[in-house]
Amino acid sequence: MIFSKSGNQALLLFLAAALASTLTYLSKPASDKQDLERQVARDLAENTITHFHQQFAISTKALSASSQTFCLNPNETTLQVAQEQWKLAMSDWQAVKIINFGPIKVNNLSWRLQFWPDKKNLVGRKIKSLLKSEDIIDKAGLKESSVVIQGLSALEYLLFDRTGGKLSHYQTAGKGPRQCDLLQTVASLTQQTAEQLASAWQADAEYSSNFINTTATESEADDTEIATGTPPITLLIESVLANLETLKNDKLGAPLGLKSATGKTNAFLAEAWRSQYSLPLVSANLRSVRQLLVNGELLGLTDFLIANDQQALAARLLTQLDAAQITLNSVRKPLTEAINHDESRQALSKAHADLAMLINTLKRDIPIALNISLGFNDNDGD
Amino acid sequence: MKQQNNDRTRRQFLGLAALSSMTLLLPLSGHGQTERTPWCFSACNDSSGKHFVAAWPLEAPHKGFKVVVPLRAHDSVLHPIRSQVLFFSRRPGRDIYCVDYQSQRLVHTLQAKAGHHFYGHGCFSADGKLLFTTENPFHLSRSNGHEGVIGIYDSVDYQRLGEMPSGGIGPHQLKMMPDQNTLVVANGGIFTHPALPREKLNLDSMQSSLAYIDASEGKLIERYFPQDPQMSIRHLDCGAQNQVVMGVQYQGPAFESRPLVLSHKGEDQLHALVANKSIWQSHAQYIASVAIDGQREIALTSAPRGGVVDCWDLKLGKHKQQFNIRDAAGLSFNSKQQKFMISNGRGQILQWRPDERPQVLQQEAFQWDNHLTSALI
Repeated sequence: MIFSKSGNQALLLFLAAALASTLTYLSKPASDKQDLERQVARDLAENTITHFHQQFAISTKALSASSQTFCLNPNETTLQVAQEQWKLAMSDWQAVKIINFGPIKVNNLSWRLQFWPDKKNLVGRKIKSLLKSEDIIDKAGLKESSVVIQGLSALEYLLFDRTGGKLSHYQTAGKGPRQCDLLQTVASLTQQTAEQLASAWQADAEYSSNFINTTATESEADDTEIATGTPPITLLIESVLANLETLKNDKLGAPLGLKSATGKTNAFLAEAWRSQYSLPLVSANLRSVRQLLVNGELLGLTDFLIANDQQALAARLLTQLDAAQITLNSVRKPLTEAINHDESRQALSKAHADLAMLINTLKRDIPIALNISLGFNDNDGD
Repeated sequence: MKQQNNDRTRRQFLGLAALSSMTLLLPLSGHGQTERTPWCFSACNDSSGKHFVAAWPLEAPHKGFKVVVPLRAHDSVLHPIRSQVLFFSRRPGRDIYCVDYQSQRLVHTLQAKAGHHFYGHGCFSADGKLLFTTENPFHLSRSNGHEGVIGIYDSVDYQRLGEMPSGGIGPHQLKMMPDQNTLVVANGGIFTHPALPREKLNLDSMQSSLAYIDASEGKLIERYFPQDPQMSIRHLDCGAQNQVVMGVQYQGPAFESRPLVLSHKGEDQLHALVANKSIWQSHAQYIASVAIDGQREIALTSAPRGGVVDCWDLKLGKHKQQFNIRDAAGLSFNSKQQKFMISNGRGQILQWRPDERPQVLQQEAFQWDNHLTSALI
């Protein structure tokens, strides 16, 4: 078995399947499917998705604290601790950003948390010019300023950049305090945004309930139904799909040169080239996708497939996901080096192909199996 | 005209077209003899990803038909003389499917010139003799953007007669203006190449434009640019009063919004219609279709990524109303019945009359593609 659940979950699955067949027998397949969908959505929202957000709130808090400790006493050790905390927060962000609907849509929070892709090195340029200026650095001002200098991308620059994030900058009498002000302010604002997101996904929050209870159509007085809302499973599949497409096309494809007319590799297009942490982030992202599919002890997306009599498809999804993960794990070099090294480049290309297969399953086979329709024109680009 | 695929000069093709028109402008059976009925035309996909083109009478959808086609099609246009509808394959497709709606068959597939592909749109000359298509002459450059062209075809035998410059990179939708000689072209400004079919290769240097072209001379009359070079003008409709309304797709950072519905009516620059920032944000940077009701002076635009359709008051130049319709892209104004038609990726065909709520007319197990045409046949 590719996936196995504990007794509790097996029981839940059995009950879900039993409920499904009972209700089918009673000729109520539509409401049966909707009930099951709500149950899976509730389990995901209240378990995995909430957990993703809480973890991110915790790790950004730790990152903010470690930035303060570092600034109190800037040295190799405290810098390293802050860098490690950044890596943890960034890994947790990989889970949060998969959920691309709901509270994160408000006020461009996603961009405030990570400014990427950044093809023109806006992060580096804007931070440099802010540090050179005499503008006051505080949280209120930062919140109103460009999203480029907020969030984890700005923190990566401040903690890892070979010139901009040098330890000596923090130790210099004139420069140090201003650089520290920015580091601590950005870290603190990031923590605040992460906490705001986490509370919006609490079980009793308004959004969580909307998410679970949205149906595809809105009833009209004259009984015609216009497609307005997106039901939760469709929304989740669309967001996982969008995330995997970014992973394949932008996080792997772009540095590998697969998106440019010249076909040349480009290390600066990697997600975290400054920290050399791009590949562990891709792995963290795939692990989080797996969590949404399986959802621990509770019902996840694969369980919804199983309850709809699609065991083989559920297994295939996990097999394809694991294939990509295993291929990526075989690459030992940082992505920025691996793209220019024959053997690891081959592995990355294979992971790219593995992801294409997984995306195809999600895009083509799952909608047919579940009789759902994913956004079509909204992905068109023409 | 038997000549294969060799371009001729503009003067030559005009002369030849005039010659050929003598034999083709005979009234076709059915036309003008019985009362014409409204039909709809749209490309669509089924859930397994197979591509179709569809045609159906609005009031009796069950009498319609679908034809399977190899490539995903985009917009369609009714042949002004024959009982045919042309479906243009979407970028980087190289096919135009000519479907006869009386025999309900695919009668001809027009192939793009070697080294060219279509952008999914086309229109006919006012006299119906010529077909104009937006094309990418991609053979000219692999890495640098090259100006697009308007391909010119004989509308009887679909032989290519020539081409003229479109006035910019990435020409997309084009329409014939009411003067029946000026083509208005939305040059999206984005360079793409079939080697990387869906990648945008010049976002940093792109410049979109609205171009007016003298169709008989093949010359650019005037060009207008949006306020931000990354605002890509892709779709348009033209009202009887020479007002052109444009739907824009913004290529800048996802956290920024721009006004995405522009208008031009002889002024010296393009004007954004007036709307609140929240309306512009609701479009998620993407407008798919534009349709004008010239008599009421209103227009609809669709924003499938935002899941909204907006109504615009063209007299006042401002936003009027917004509807939530998921994945709605196709729009068309049905002048006979004085109503707008709307299609979405959820298989629905809706109608909307001002002061009413949109109403679902059809629900099918197909995903309607970006554009919807309705016409009397």
